[in-house]
Amino acid sequence: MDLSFSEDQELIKSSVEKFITDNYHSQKRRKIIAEAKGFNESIWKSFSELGWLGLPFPEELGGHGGGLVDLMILMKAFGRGLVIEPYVSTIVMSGKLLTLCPQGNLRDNILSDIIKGEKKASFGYAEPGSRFNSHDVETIAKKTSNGWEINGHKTVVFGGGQSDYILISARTSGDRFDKNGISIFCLNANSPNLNIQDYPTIDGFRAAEIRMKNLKIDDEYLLSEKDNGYEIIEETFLNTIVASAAEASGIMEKMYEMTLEYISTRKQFGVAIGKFQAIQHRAVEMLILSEEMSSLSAMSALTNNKSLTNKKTIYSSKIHIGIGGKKLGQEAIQLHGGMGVTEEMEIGQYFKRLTLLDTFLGNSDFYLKQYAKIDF
Amino acid sequence: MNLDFSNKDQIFREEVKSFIEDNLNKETARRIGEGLPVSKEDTQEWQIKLSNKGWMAPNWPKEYGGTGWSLTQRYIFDEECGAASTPRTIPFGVTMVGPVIIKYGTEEQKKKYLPKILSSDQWWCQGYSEPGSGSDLASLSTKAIKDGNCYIINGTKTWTSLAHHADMMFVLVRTRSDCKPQEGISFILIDMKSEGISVNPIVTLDGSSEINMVYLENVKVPLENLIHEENKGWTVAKYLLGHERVSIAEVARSKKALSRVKEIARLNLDGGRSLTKNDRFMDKLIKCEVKLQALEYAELKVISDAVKGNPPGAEASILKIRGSEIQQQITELTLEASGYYAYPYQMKSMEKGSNEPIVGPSWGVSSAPKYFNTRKTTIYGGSNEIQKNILAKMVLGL
Ligand SMILES: Cc1cc2nc3c(=O)[nH]c(=O)nc-3n(C[C@H](O)[C@H](O)[C@H](O)COP(=O)(O)OP(=O)(O)OC[C@H]3O[C@@H](n4cnc5c(N)ncnc54)[C@H](O)[C@@H]3O)c2cc1C
Repeated sequence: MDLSFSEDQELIKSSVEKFITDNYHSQKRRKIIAEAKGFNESIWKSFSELGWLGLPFPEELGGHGGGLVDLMILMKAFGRGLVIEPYVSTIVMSGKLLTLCPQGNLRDNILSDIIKGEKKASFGYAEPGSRFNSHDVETIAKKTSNGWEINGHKTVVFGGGQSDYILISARTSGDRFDKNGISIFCLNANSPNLNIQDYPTIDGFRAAEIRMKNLKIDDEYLLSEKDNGYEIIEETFLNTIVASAAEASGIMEKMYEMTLEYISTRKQFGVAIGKFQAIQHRAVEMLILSEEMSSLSAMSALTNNKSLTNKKTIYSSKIHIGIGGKKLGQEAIQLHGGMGVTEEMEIGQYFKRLTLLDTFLGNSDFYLKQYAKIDF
Repeated sequence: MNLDFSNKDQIFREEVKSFIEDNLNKETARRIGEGLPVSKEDTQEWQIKLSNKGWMAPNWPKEYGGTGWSLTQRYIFDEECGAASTPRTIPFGVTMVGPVIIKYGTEEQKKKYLPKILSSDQWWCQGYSEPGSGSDLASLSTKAIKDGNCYIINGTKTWTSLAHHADMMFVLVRTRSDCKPQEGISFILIDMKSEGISVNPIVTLDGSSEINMVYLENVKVPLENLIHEENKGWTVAKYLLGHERVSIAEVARSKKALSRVKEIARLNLDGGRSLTKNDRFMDKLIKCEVKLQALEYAELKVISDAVKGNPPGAEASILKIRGSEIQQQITELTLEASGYYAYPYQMKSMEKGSNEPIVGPSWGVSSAPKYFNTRKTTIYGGSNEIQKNILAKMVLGL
């Protein structure tokens, strides 16, 4: 057992922290958000040069063979810097999904394009009626003579309007809720009969409604084995939660620090408000919540097989984003008083992202239920 | 002690209902029901209807144009307005400065201001907080210096709600410094059109702009705009804050908002099932309703005492604490119910008359903005921490 970072990991940590300090200050982020695409080409290029786009992929696929701990280090720094580039949608989520799909020309090309930073991808799993149940799939793919015809609606697809490839889950057999019969397809963003409604999200990212109407694709665009996509989705979710927990941990740590700074300098009744014990105890509670997030994030990054114990660890980190993150976020705003509810203050920007991270991939209630299913 | 409605009360309820039915703009009500912003015009339209009916000021004594309603009638009125999603009457005139003028104002001042509050011709805003004086309000530094028949006022007020719509502002200013801070404060009324006032919007987390910075630079205010005595402003302010804290409890509005959450929970949102089948969600919803029921009774008690001539004291802080928390919890429930539809940023489609296509169900559009915006309720009107300090001192005697 050794809980310290390796030399390589220290290197990732210092390089990403330096990058954020030098290149990703809040004014810049706000400018990127205001731009039409919602991400910055030159920053994406830097990500590629720094090796982050290939970080989580195995070397045989052109990646750098990084593990979950490496991803955690990167994502935690992204959280602290409130990075809104489509890294999770393209690299973490779509990347993992593609890696888990069987090898094939199309898959290999997309992966290589993604790693080189030339193309982006997104994954549409949610549907208007599905809520957080990713096996609730009503998008239908029907076999045609030389391919598939797809009809359906994928909703709130993160990075959907920013990507060249849209990966989707669609039903190739079975009924609405069956886990069997779900397959994964790839769509070119410019396909006819594919409607993409791109919009900003409240936390500064972008998402899209993806509507498919009699959309025809060739056989090779079925990426998973027919009917066997669900397990891949599940594993992709688990992997993405690890990244998301690290991001949340970075955000919570930063919010705690900003709040500590604020209560140490804001004076009322002739003293810094941090002198009041009622405030001190709450700031300490914030510290503990942040430390818990950090621990759970590290624990989940150290999971290395698909055992149920590991699943529970990953669920725990997700549950804490919802429960601990919500508490910490609300406290941070409250302790900032009126300043906390202004758009101008950075604390609010972090609060918005943290709030919505609970919802991402299913909220804490949803994972409490999954957790209970494992043990009881 | 009883909670029954008499026959007379039932008749009154019908009267209120049919008044609302005949006078409330349906589109405005729909927007409020969905948590969308309402404009000054929307609110004004409703206030004028109330005013014409003589129902603008249920909390004022009859001789000043109040309704003379019993406690029960006021309760029924609030409940029906909440249930029908009428615009809120702007509190700064009717709820805050009105009672102050009635208690401390001269005959002249009563004649000058009260009718225009009743007719909604004048909108008010509250200039208490300053950048350096929030919780420690008594430390405020905006100065008023006597100059002939005027005060010359200099300073900055902040977080001033609706200053951009207001015709008048009541402010706390410093008129003496060589004493305890509380003893050198005066309560003054300022015409917002006075020279030297500028109003700058502050955008809040949810993207809306309802609060402002108000800069006062050599603003001349006639001496007759002083309320009560010079340097007695703190007494006036405390009297007003009691009223403000009760009004912040917003029980009727929260009841309506919670019933809306219930409607949402009944929809089949959760993979073909309704959220009412989701115990975790329902526990939170019901716990919130339990708190709300307790608050409702507590509010009735405070109003009932007030009607008997015992103005709200420190207990009003309890209403403020729980009322504000409940408002937040309700927005939290709606946010949770929205699932992924909390994400889309749809400011444009929230605007009145917008044709922007919306993403997700219409009730979800405002769910995250509302949640962010409602963080304010535990901060304003004296933060909840300050309310707890008051209770610890005044009620617990610690
Ligand atoms: C949306 C909105 C609308 C508003 N509208 C108006 C308006 O119309 N007119 C107006 O005059 N003001 C208005 N306010 C201002 C409001 O009254 C102040 O924000 C409030 O009094 C808190 O002051 P502050 O923001 O300076 O926070 P601070 O006083 O700096 O407090 C920061 C934090 O420290 C806590 N704290 C401070 N002192 C203590 C203590 N002794 N013990 C424990 N905790 C403490 C506070 O509770 C808070 O959590 C509004 C505020 C908001 C957010």
